[in-house]
Amino acid sequence: MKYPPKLDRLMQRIFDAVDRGEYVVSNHAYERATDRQVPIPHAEYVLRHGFHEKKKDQFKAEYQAWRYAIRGKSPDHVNVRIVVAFADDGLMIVTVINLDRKD
Amino acid sequence: MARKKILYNGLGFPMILVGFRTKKVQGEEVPDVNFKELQAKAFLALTHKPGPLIGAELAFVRAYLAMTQVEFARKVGLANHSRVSQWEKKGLKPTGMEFMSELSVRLLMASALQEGMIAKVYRELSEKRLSADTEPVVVPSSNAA
Repeated sequence: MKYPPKLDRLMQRIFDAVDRGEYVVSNHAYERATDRQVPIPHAEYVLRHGFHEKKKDQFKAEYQAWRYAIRGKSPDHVNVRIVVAFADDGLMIVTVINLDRKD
Repeated sequence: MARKKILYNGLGFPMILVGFRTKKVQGEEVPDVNFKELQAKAFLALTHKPGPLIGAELAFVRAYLAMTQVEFARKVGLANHSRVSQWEKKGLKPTGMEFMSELSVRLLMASALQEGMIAKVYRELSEKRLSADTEPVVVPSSNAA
């Protein structure tokens, strides 16, 4: 199956959306205990300062859209991976994962 | 007509949004709101929350104030930051902090808001104390306020 191309200037697009507050957060972003302790202002920090972890990107066939993985350290030095998607309306934070917690 | 209420966890803790429009993004209904505004409204609602803060709310408050645990502990008069860490780790349960600490936290929050808020929050907490209410904080939209 041939996937559609990924977005160009991904990190700049994310930075701009976060800067303007023009994004949405999935209700499930904080579903698991391991996802907590990364409050949303710290998730924003990771999206501004992190890097694109390309090998963790996944194509979501259901929505015909890429989900992008952004990795970085929060201001509390927690290793965080954030999965984001770009839908018609812009940026959506799908999942926030605290990589330092195992529970 | 009843204002629409939705239970939302997008800031890391449960809150009830009242009067917000919603939209469907990738199959999910989410509030159609600017997230800077939503965070500001949630912070204000938490400042006046009748019940005790839960761990995840405290973590949000500290992050919103852009403070490290050490800075936050100093501001609320704690000898070290390990207490802040313990409180935040309570997650979706009340922090368990004693009343004077809760009062200090709320006054710190009030100090980040507009003038006159410190006195208002002090009156609220010192007169009514904290309720045992552990219901999610209610965040009204501008129209629903």
